[in-house]
Amino acid sequence: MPLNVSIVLWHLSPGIDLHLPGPAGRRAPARPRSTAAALTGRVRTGSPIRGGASRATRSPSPRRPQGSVQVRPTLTPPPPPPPLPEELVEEVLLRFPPDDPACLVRAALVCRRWRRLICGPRFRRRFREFHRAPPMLGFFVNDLGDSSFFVRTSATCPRVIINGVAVGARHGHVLLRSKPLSVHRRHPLENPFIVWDPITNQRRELPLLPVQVPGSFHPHSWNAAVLCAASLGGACDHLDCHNGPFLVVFVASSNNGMVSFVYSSEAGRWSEPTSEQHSYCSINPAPSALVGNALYFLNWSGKVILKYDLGTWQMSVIYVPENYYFGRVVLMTMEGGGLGFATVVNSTLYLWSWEAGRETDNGWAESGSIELMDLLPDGADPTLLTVIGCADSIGVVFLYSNVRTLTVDLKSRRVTKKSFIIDNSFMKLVRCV
Amino acid sequence: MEVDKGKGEAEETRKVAEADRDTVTLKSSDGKLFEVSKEAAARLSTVLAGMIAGGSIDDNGTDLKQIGSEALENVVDYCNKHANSIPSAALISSSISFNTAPFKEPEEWERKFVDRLSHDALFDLVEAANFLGMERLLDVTCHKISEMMKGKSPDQIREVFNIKNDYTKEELEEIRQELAWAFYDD
Repeated sequence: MPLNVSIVLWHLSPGIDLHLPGPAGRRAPARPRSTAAALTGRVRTGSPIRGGASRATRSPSPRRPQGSVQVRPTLTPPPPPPPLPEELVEEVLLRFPPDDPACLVRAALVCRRWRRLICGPRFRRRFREFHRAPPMLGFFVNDLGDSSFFVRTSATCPRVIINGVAVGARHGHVLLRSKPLSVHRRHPLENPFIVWDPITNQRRELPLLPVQVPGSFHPHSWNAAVLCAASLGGACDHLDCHNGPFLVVFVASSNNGMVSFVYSSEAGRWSEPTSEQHSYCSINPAPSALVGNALYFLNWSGKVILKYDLGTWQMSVIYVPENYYFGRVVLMTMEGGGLGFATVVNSTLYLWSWEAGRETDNGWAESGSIELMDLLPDGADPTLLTVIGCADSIGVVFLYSNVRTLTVDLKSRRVTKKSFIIDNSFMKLVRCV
Repeated sequence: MEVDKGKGEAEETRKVAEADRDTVTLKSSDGKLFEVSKEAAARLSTVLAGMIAGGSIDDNGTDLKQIGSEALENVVDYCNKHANSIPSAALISSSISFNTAPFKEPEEWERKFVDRLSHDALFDLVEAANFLGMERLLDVTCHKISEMMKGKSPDQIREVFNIKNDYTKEELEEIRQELAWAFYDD
């Protein structure tokens, strides 16, 4: 059974929903379902926070007498400064490191005013806009397909208990199977999907796939992906949609060719199946890539990529370059938003990108490489490196090595040895941005 | 009428002379005068840029009544240093670039600039940067303060910001237990 690893990238600030019990306490404002409401907050622009004119009307800061040079007595401690104005406190809190969510929790306990500020939807929205790419706080590991557990990569990330088996994750949603994937429970028709928001811990069990005639559909291989319902046409920036409407796309190979279903949380049901006879390929449970208006799934051999068009629900295939040897490949979104993959061959990490209409190598071209030989930690055998996943939105590729798991930062070209070890067999990594 | 006309001409002449200068003079709340490059001031401060464009700069010293001399000196120092700085390699995009935050990490000289400031001077400078619409300086100073708060307990943060605790003991204890992960290395 594949060992699945789901990389989780999120801004934890929405999880901090501090409320106080009893009459003195007030629950923090609920998050709006619509991002439009949250967008009423200030958006960072080139103008001052409140503008010079409005600040000019404020009374002078009482920190020290205006119009005179401060002279402090040498032996007495200076008087404590007055608190910063709230708009500047907000600016400071916005710059807290997103990969250390405990900082915001501790700040919320400074006083009620700060708690209201931090828990408010405007601050949450601004925090995400300010930091953009969510940090990686940890990932899920599937233990032989029967259960999943969470590995923290940030020291101050809360423990996350997963109740189910992770299949995929994206846009703050985690797609689970409620029962173990092994033995007879693997069959997608008998095991309902669950969409889980780890931030709010909301779980939504989806109905079983709508197969009209029992026994008429025998999937040979399948994969599924969850994504924000507003992904089509780039209608959402995915900074604040983790508890919004979502889609689940299920694709399978079967005796009848390729079959797909789409679940819409807004409609509350699965679509009728869509079939495609001419694009048969076995489907690897490796993570899909969302690029533009399409999802891409890898096949078992790693030589064929199934494209699922979110607009037309049509499937088609793309072949990887035929004249090259690649090790295991991981699909990813490249710089500029195109489809690509990462692979390691002879201690070099290669990035390839695909472009429709390019005539050479089935539309593929090498777009970058990093020689890892001199970057590896002591004891790492370059011949054993295998790419096992990526968090493309933050430009990090994960490698299996004989000395623990390695991450390669594509921007800084820095290789980091992680404290955890993951088996390299059949690793699956799922994005949750 | 003649006198008024003369005054008007003098005013025009003064404005023309002011427009020709490549520095502007700023006056702090305590009456100290500071000169700063007009180009740097206009580039780094939206408020000063507006005043320069609108001709409301006074060559005898534009009054900035909300900013003390120490903070204004730091503002001017920052403008001068910024004008002379060379963009670091970190600000030049690399061949492989992914989704990056709009905030750029402070450069080495900016870090040194804020590191040498006292607590009061830093907080005054944040307010001055905000008042003058100096987004980059606001970025750098707020980033410094957020770094100062890293790893600090709520008590220690209250001390830094001089904030009174308005929670009850029971409330704090309850939240601490609920969110123990944020306070202890569990």
